[in-house]
Amino acid sequence: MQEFEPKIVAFVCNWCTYAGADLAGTSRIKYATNVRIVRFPCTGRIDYMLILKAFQNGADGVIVSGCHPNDCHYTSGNFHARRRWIVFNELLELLGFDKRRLFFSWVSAAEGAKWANLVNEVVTEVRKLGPFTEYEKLSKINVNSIGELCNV
Amino acid sequence: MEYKLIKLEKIQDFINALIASGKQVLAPKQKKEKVFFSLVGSFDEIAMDYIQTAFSAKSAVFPKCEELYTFEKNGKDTILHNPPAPENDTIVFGMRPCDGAAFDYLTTFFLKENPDYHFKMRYDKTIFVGLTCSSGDEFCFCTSVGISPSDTRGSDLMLTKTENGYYMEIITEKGKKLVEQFSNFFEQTEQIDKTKYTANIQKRFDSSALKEKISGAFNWERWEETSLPCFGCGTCAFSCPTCTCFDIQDEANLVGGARYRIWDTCALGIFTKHASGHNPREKQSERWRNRILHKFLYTDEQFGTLSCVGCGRCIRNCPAELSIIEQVNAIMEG
Amino acid sequence: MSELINKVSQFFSSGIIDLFIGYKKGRLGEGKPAFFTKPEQLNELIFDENCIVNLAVYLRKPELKKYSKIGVLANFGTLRALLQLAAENQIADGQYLILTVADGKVLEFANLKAIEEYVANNLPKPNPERIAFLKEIESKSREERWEFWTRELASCIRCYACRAACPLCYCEQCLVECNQPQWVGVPPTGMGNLEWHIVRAMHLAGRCIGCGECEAACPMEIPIGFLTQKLNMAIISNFGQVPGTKLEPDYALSTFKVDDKENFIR
Repeated sequence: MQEFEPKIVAFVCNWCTYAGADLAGTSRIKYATNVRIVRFPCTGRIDYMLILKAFQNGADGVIVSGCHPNDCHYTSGNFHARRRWIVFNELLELLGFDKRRLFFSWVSAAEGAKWANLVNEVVTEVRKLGPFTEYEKLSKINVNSIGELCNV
Repeated sequence: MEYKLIKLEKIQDFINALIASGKQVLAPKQKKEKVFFSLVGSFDEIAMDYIQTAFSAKSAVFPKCEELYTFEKNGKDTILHNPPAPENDTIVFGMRPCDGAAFDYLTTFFLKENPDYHFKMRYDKTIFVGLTCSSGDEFCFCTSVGISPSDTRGSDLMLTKTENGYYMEIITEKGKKLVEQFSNFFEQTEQIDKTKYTANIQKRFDSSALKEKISGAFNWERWEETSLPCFGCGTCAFSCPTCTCFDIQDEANLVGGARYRIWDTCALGIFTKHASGHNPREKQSERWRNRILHKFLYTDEQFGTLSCVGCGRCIRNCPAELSIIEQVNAIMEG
Repeated sequence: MSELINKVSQFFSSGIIDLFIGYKKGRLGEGKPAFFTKPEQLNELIFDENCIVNLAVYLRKPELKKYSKIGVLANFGTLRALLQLAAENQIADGQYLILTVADGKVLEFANLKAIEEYVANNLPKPNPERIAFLKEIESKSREERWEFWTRELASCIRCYACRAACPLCYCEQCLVECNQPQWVGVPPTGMGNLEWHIVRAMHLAGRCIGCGECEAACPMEIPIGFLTQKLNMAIISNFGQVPGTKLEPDYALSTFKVDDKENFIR
């Protein structure tokens, strides 16, 4: 049987992590190819809806990454983002969402090697967890089911 | 018509035998304070003492979310699939007579002119077992809209609880077949007078007098004033046994998807909002007026029947306790 | 009650207000929202601990625009909602005449500042039953929690009564009504339902005043109030901001501290 290859979506900021990933490339550092990078102006722009959208469309893991604190190109975008993640994490914790599939990180423009390591770690961890069927199954709940209460 | 009797101690075995035979049994089930129709795994889960379920039995044939079709991409082709038909019969057990009467309207709406494939597919496989109301509450008003609390309309079998057990009227062929299949649970009996076992539901308005009054009510000046407590949650329509409005939504990705039919309600502003941004029913009072007139006027004009069965769910579920009874009485006063 | 009725009818007769939003007796003894336009109607006016509907939800109704000044009989949740709405620039000082009844006495608030003081002095402790229930959910394993919420949220019919009943959900266009892109699936599948409730909770995090109207309005008896309650508790313990207590904007998610915790960031 073929080994499960996780699909990872990475939401990264333009100024630090994207440049860091670029550096990993120009430095010819090899890392797992499972990651699809989506570039944003700032981590402050990375809405939790984007994270959900990625899972909705079949991502097995999501990385959110941006500039280190005090390094934000827009001064405080990453601080605002960090607060939002704290709150979002609390909600996911209460809901019992599998948080092992959601990764937050700071990767600067100079940390090509850190980026490569991060992706490799994430891919190994998510590969161990297997496909995110728990979330996918939700899309079938209630479809064609009769009565009001859940029949799952 | 034939009449049977199920002894009180036999009803449990009857339901469990239905479930064991592979039929889906949709019956009232207690959640917290409310009772909902739900698929049950045994008789013990059924709430037998209830005045009204929070939601109606319409979800047995008109679920809140059903596939109209699914589609998949195969190269350049798109392949369509019909949704799977239910394999086994569904028994709706313990449906109130008002819900039964609602099926009169629902079948007119869905099956009369252009039979709806999805509704028919479920309706043909569903057997409705009604249950006479032995008590009502201050929100019940079936008698005001011409329905009695022991009405057999829309039911295939009708149960009435008596001191000897459940007295059963066999109303349709569908019901008869079920009774024959499980004949060892029933005893032969004579026709009885159900009045003694039937709740006395007060008449709260006169529907024939309303008929005259409501045809000119569109421009009534008190719509706004009487609907002020409504904040547009739409619970009235979702829980209504005769509300049939639906929305059609696609869920798709690169490889395929499905088209869904889901419940919708005229209480929401987005229901009538045009793509241009214009909304012909801009205010909640206009939406509320549409609901009342639809129930008591529009369907009367279209199908010759009221589409309110007096179940009282819209009043019980309303967070602001806006009452359709008070509303109708206000219209009568003018 | 007569003191309240006298006072309100004086406001009517002296022309200070032309609409009064309060409560009247519902069929089961609870208070239901009532709108009074004439002093003669006021004999129906009641106020007690069973008057729980948050009347601030009505203030955004376009039907109310034609009234020159509106009086509101506010319970504690309504007062907090009014404060939060003022902090979000949704209502202005002096726009409404606000009354409440405390210890049998009618209180008239001169301005929003007075409400702020009143709320600060009377802030209730969280309901211990609710805290215990939340603790019970939190003590479960992750899988059990997922199972619990999947089941509960599956019965959601997406009527959006929670949104309609919330005094702070006042957006003209809600995110779920946005379809380019379609963020949250409209059909009430398990996934769409979960995502809707995540959106709702996140948009109310740090703004929810905990009146419990969403849960009371939910026709399916889903304990959705716990989602926002949990987030508010997290915000209070992490950042110290309490929604609906301050007149000045103090939204936890629009500010930050350099030393906010980041133990979850690699």
